[in-house]
Amino acid sequence: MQADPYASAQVRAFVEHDYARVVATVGAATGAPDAAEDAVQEALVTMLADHHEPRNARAWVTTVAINHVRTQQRRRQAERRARDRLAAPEATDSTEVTDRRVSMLSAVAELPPKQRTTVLMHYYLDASIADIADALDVTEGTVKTQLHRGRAALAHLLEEAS
Amino acid sequence: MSIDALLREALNDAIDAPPVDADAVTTRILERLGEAGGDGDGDGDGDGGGDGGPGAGGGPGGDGSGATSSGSAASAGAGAGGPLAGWSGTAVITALAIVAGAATGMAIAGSGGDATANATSEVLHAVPVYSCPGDQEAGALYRGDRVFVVGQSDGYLGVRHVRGDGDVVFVDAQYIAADADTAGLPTINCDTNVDAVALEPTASPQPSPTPSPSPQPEQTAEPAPNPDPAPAPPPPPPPPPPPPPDTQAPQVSNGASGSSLVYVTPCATSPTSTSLSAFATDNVGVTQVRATWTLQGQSKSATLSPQGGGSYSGTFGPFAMSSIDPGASENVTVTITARDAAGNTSSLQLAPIQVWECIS
Repeated sequence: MQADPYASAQVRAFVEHDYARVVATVGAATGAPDAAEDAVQEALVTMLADHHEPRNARAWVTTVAINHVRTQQRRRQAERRARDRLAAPEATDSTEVTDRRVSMLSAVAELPPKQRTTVLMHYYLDASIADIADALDVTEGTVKTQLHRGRAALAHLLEEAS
Repeated sequence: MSIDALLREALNDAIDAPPVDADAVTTRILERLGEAGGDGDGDGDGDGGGDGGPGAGGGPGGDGSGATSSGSAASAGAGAGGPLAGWSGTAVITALAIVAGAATGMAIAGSGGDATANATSEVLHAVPVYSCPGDQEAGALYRGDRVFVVGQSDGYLGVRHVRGDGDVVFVDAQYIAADADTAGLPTINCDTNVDAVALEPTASPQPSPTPSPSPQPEQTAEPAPNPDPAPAPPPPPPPPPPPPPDTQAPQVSNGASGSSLVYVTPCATSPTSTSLSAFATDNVGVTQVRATWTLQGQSKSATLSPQGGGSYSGTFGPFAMSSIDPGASENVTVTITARDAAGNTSSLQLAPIQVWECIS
């Protein structure tokens, strides 16, 4: 089947501008970086095949991909193992920078799932509150609340780092 | 530096975006999109059963006299002077042959019909009938059935059946091959009161006319007593043999859902439901097509309505918020099952549909 030019252009633009960060976000949000890329591709295909036109494709695809990975995790009952891997990654570098990265990832991984998703989408993907609210299908107030709680939970880590 | 800026910086430091080969990734996604598009086209591919289309293939009969020679109902509406004579004037009649193998197309062929009828229609395949056009299926017409066409309504013909109870039912006009022009029939709907006429069962023998007494010859002598003055009437013809049992299960194909994901209500994000479609045929007639699935351990179902041409459609969802765990999603496998009047069934599984809860 030949993809239509519009879809091809959409895919190309997304891959060049958003794909890598979305994959990283999904990996961090789910603790399953290995599954993130496939989930992001699946979400992008879903968006195009079902003719969804979200307000922010990056946020929408992220949300869909996260749900996709979580569904797989539940099915395999592997979420706990995935989170453990995220909390204790292999120590390949003992520098201070690496310690801080691991600490940040661990702290993010400890956040409740919805809070974690909201924090990552806002602070890593640079999605606006309105875009996040649209992608997660919640009110902007809910997003602000989640961000506030996420920020508070991570604040002590940031203070130590700074 | 604000805490927001610190957070951004810390997350950017901590999370490495993977290297991306844009060409390879784009190609892979477009391939997957092509595969998804092929699945989602419903009847775009499949087994060829859906493309027969009306008008394909001529069945037995043709223009001439073949129509009344086959099918058990052949004699029911034949003569204008018979018990069905009351139908003449409303437009009419006969059914008969079927186009063998017209699993989908319900091809229309010519019919000789009966010369005494005002119009003759021929049902060429088992087709659904409706109490109102576009309404729920109310039954089916089968091979060899005769119908009386009493009116028309937006692509449907209002018909009565000799086996029926006198009610008018509607059948898609494309499945009826009339041997007279039905354009002049009155427009009716399901509320139109069409004069009822008592119908005779198909298998009943036709009453023979009472013979009129022949003039007696003049007799000059005392007639001899006749030991058997009343000749015994000829025995009625034996009833037609019962049709063989239907053991052939319906065929279900081209099952598809309109979307691969739905949200539970009251999510603002659409869709909160999606269409289900499938194609179902049977050698006698499909009586029901249902979709079943299990969501959060609970079995659910929905009836798919006939859309004509063997196509059926229904709706998956909407689902209440309580249908799924907070923050969760669930892949739901929908099974489409077609059933015929004999209880034969066959099923088809659709690609999973993901049901999401609103994340709040």
